[in-house]
Amino acid sequence: MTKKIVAVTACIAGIAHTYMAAENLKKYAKKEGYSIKVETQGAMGLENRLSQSDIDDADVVIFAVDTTVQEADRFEGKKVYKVGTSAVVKDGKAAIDNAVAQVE
Amino acid sequence: MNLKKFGKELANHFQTGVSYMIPLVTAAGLLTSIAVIFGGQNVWNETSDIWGNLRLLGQTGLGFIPPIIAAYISFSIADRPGLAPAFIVGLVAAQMGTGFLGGMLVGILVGYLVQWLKKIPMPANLMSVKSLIIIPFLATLIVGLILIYIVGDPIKAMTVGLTAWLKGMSGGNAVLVAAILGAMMAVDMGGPINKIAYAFGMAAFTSGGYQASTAMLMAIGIPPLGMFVATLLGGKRLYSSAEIESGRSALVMGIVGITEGTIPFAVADPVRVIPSIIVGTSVGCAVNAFFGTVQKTALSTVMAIPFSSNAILYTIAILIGVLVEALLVNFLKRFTRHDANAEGEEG
Repeated sequence: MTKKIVAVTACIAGIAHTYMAAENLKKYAKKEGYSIKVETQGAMGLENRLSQSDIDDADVVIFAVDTTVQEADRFEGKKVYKVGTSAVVKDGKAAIDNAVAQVE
Repeated sequence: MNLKKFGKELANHFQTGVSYMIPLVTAAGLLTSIAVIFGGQNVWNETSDIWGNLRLLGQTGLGFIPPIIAAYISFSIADRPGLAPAFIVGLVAAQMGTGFLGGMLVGILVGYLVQWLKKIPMPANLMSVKSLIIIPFLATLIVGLILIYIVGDPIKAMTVGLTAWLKGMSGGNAVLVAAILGAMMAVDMGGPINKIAYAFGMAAFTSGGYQASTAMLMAIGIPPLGMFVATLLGGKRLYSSAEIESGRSALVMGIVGITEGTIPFAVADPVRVIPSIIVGTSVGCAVNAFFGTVQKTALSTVMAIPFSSNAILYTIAILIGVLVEALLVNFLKRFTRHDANAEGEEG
């Protein structure tokens, strides 16, 4: 069964790292054949907002953030893999691998 | 371990506060800059013309830095109930003249107090009383009084001391501070360390410490501009065609002042690119401090050239930084790696 991943990315200025981290997560999740949805919390606020059912169905939750996650109560009870945006921008594969390894 | 985790958490809260503050600082900083550039020094005391009114808008915004940083640090810690008390006490901190530092402290105090109050068990029928009355009232009261009677004056003294030191900075000190700020701005290209230096520079700017703000603002554009020059000089021998393309957008990003334009290069080759941008930016800022050139706007690197106290020396300092970075990175690439496309795919 393919893994379902949801992720939130957020950096400080909310203009570059946020979106680059999101792209990288999508890229490497796709490579591994996982399905992924990424919500960005950048300077424009919440974009591609994750619905409660997205989150409930997910096997893995990744927070690639340098700030606190907004509306974090949506993720209550979920096991979250937390990492900084720079780390994900540098190495998206490791982020995906570590997050998946955490739930297995 | 626990302390380390707490420190990391605290850093996250500060960064959240700063992320909400950035648009305020850019809007207010630009308005103030425009007003002073076109209206001259007399805009500070009047609102009889458009420049005086722009100054009013900008200055009001800059004065709002302590409340907004307090409120959103607190929001980050305690969520929604953290906002209102921190706005009130943060505004008091601003009026007391505690500046940026006061705002940060208020944010932490209110945030953790509210977080703690939230956890106190209450009978279910009193829950609404708790969230509607008890938390906002107590948090404002307690932290407000702590600020006014205990921590306010020491922080104000610290802010005044720091400001005086920043304003009076000269010679070796000024060069050293500029070099450090430059290095911090470059090291993570718009990440957390960059934003610490940014916050420090803007805090200096609002209190007239233009040497520090000049160095910080100058550092913004040097990393991407340097990489653009590096791709020009290095050409196809050292850079993939994708990187040469990134070099062109780095030029634009460097001019408008987005350090993040350097990231594609740093991701592809961190070991060589990151030290080069740190050294180049640091040198550029230090050289400028050595010249003693300042600019009193909140504009970044290139856009501030016309407003600097000596446009020629200021430009020379930028060019030196850019060239040092470009030459260093190309030197490192040339002598330690030969094939530009070898590791293109893995990113």
